Amino acid sequence: MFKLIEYALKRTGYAIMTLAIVSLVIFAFTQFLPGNAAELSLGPFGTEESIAAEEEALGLDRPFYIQYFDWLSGIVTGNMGNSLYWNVPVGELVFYRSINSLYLALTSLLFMTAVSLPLGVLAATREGDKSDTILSVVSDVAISIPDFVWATLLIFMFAGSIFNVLPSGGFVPPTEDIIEFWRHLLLPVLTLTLVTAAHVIRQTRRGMIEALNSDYVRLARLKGLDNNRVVIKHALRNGLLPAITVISFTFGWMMGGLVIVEEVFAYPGLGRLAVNAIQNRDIPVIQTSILVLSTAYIFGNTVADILYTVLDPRIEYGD
Amino acid sequence: MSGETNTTDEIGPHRYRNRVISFTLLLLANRNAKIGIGLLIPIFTITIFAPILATQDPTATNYGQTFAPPMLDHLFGTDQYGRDLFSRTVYGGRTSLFVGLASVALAVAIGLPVGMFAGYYSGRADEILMRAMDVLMTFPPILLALLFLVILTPSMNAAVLAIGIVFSPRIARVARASTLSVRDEEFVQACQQRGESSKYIIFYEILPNIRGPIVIEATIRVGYGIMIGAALSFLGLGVQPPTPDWGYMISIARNEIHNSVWMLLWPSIGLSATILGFNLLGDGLGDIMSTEYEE
Repeated sequence: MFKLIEYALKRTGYAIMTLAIVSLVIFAFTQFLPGNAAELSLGPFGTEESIAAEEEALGLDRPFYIQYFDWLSGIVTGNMGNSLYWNVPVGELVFYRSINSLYLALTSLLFMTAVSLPLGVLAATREGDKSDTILSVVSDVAISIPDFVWATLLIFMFAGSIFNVLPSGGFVPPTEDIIEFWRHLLLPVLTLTLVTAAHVIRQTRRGMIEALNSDYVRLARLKGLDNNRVVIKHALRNGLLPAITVISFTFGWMMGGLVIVEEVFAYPGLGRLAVNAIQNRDIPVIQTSILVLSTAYIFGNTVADILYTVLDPRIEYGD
Repeated sequence: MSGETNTTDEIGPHRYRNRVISFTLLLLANRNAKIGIGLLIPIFTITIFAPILATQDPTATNYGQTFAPPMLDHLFGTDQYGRDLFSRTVYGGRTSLFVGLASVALAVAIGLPVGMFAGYYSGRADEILMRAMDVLMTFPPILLALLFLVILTPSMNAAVLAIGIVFSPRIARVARASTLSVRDEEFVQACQQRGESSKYIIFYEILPNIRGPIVIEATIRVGYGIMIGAALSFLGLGVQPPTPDWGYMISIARNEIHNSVWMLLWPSIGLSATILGFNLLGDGLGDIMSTEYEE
């Protein structure tokens, strides 16, 4: 048990270190931008003197590492300056957009899990059957269709030409109108589910097949327990372990998926904010939004690693 | 000393031909690989012969005939500028395949030497190289590609460069792990005793023995590369118009969805079938490899 806590702490420390490097990389990247923030904020009519004055005002004439630590301490204290494009405080903008993205990511994760776990278990209990084969073909096809294609197809089907029953995009805060909130969330959630479910179904199926072929399940069968009981009481507990790891990886993966899905559905989340900031060369927003998305990605992967070690008794938490 | 003396089997041209045939048979016996090849052969053929197959100039506009459904003159219909969708879809495949293959080639060019050197030398060099690769892995792939496109001007080549760099650590990981597994084999030790240079050992002794896992990883990556490339074009940050590209065509089709289904349908089918082909072929190669190891 002690070893386990030690491993979790070590892994968390590693994640924090990674995060520090990631923040440095993001900051360095935006420094390479052709035309710095001063030129961008003054537009094409800035004279050399006014650019120099603006650089001084923004502190861009200081050494790289001082600017970097300034930016970092700004993030910690919540003072990240103003967006060059929207002209509102970056912290506020990123905070509200993150909440919106969280609604989308967590709902998708829950929905996807609720769909794929039973399907994976079902496929495992019918290994080699027709339904198992059909499911594996369907999931192969589903993950080969890119997210933005799924999104566009769903809009075509449910928000226009065939059934005009759902909004094609946008967002309504849950505090304003809870029904509209869900109606706007449905298609993006469906898209993210379609592109991620196959991985979880596959892992669940694999884990369950291994569990169903294990000695203790065979013993339970020999004792004469009926099939449903064997599956539910004995195989499920161990068979679902690999799936849990994949689900937390999927949370991290969704941080990338959000970029595309939010853009297609005009959903005001963090991913769309990052894309718009890149299109508008809004440096402070690019830095912070990408940092938050990467943090969530690292968080998902770290949790997956720790869970994998915790749940699998065969792994030694040495390093 | 030739690099082929490393395997215990006798190798001659005859033996080599047998191996190619037996590998092809293995591929065709695998369901996934068979379907993957079945999808990819026609796709490659169509895109290679695009200039012959395309009935019209893919960028020629005709404002008299926009949003046309499929018909004899325009097999797939026309888009919002009256451009021939069949020709655009066929040429669009060239762009997607180029982006996928070129970015993976770049990823292999970076990741393979890095991974092999890290695996072969271990110690400090390994630590530094792989930590650098780890940093690249801590970003969601599409986000890292976007970050590169912040400093590069969006274009097809910039997309290839960005995706290639994003994928390189994944290739490096596989290369490192496979190098570690053969590094202590007898044939490598024999070369070291013989006094061969490290460069010779890495490229002529180790490389031929780890190409299997590399080929599998690269094949799967081509599918993802095409997917990310199309996503970047969809966002307007990849291939630039008027070059026909499936991702860009889909982004236009989204705006015209009430005018034409065909604009959405053809590039979506092309894109998904190509990705499916590479995914299945990669899965199939993986299956074959794992059974080979078990035997």
